[in-house]
Amino acid sequence: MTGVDRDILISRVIDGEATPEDWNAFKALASRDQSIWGELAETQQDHAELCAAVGDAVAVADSVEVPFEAHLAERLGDRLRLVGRWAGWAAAAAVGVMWATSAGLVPGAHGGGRAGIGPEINSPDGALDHYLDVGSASGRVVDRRPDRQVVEVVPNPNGEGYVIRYNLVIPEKVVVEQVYTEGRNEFGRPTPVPVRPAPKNTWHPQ
Amino acid sequence: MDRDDGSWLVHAAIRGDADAVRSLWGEHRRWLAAIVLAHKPRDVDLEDLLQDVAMAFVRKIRELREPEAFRPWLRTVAVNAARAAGRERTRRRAHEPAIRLHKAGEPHETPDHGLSRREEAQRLMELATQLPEGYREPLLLRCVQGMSYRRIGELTGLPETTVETRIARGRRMLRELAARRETESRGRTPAEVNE
Repeated sequence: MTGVDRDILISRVIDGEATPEDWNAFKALASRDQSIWGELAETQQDHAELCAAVGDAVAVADSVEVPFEAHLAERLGDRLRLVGRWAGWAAAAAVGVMWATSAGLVPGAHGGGRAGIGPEINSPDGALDHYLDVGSASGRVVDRRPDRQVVEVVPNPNGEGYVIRYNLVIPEKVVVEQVYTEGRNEFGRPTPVPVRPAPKNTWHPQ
Repeated sequence: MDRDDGSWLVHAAIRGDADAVRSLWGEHRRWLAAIVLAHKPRDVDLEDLLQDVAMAFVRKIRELREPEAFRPWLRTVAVNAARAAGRERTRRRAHEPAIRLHKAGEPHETPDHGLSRREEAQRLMELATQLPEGYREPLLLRCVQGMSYRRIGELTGLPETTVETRIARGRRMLRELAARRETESRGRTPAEVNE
């Protein structure tokens, strides 16, 4: 029997993975060489002590949380900087607020109506209708019929029915002086690259 | 990875769901700590490095293109953080005097005489981190909630049989290393060990 086989036999015994064949091989080996019992005991002890120390060491992970809020703030800062270079600070602030709203950073952004906006806005649907009315009147909303794109359908955790996650797609339009696409500079960082569509042609990103 | 393995959580995290990101981190952070432990430089704090891994995780999860490869991807994030710390340490040391004093509380060589069981376990883990790279990680992962050979293979990209062989060989190397260390320390006086 090679050294590796001996190591593996001992390891399987320690890990509780030994098959009846392994046990037979182990007993046969022990009948010829009783030192394997000592090796088994020593390796078992090392394994127990190592696992105790590793368990103590990795327990520190329980106190480490994902810095999600810091990350959101970081991304918001990045977006504001990038958009600021693309379309001016007014647009930057607008996109920043929209993004922050969707990420839940703006208090009162989710659900229900908000005081002072109007009595008709007391539900998400009411707010949506109001937005469509005002958006259509101003020319910003192109199509009043939102498209619902299903992202995921999963069984409801409470056992009743299903939870459907979907995106609401509402086409809007905006007039800008210049359009950009995202490129990479010589350092590999994202950088805006001006795009000049030919007159009367339509340019679609991607 | 099947649905019960939390793949829906991975999909949700990729879409930016904060609760999903937090759940995934909570579920996987202990074995990630073992990965970092296996790859980090000795004098770099594990908790500090885990903070780096957590930040890298939350930054990069949206870029994950293969949700089914989430765990190997997460392992790579942890290994990269540990290696980056190693490179930083090397760069820093190049600008430090060759001789430095131990700071209070920093691990340093002590004689083996009269070690408590806990200290012995700690010493054994330090020895384990000196094993060849390919052996350290499977050995430490095996200690995290008794992770199976199959799961270790999924994480590291190694065949299950290779994982088993490396754990077995790693244990023998660790046993020999500990025996050699003990023999060396017995042959020296405490004063010599301290030198």
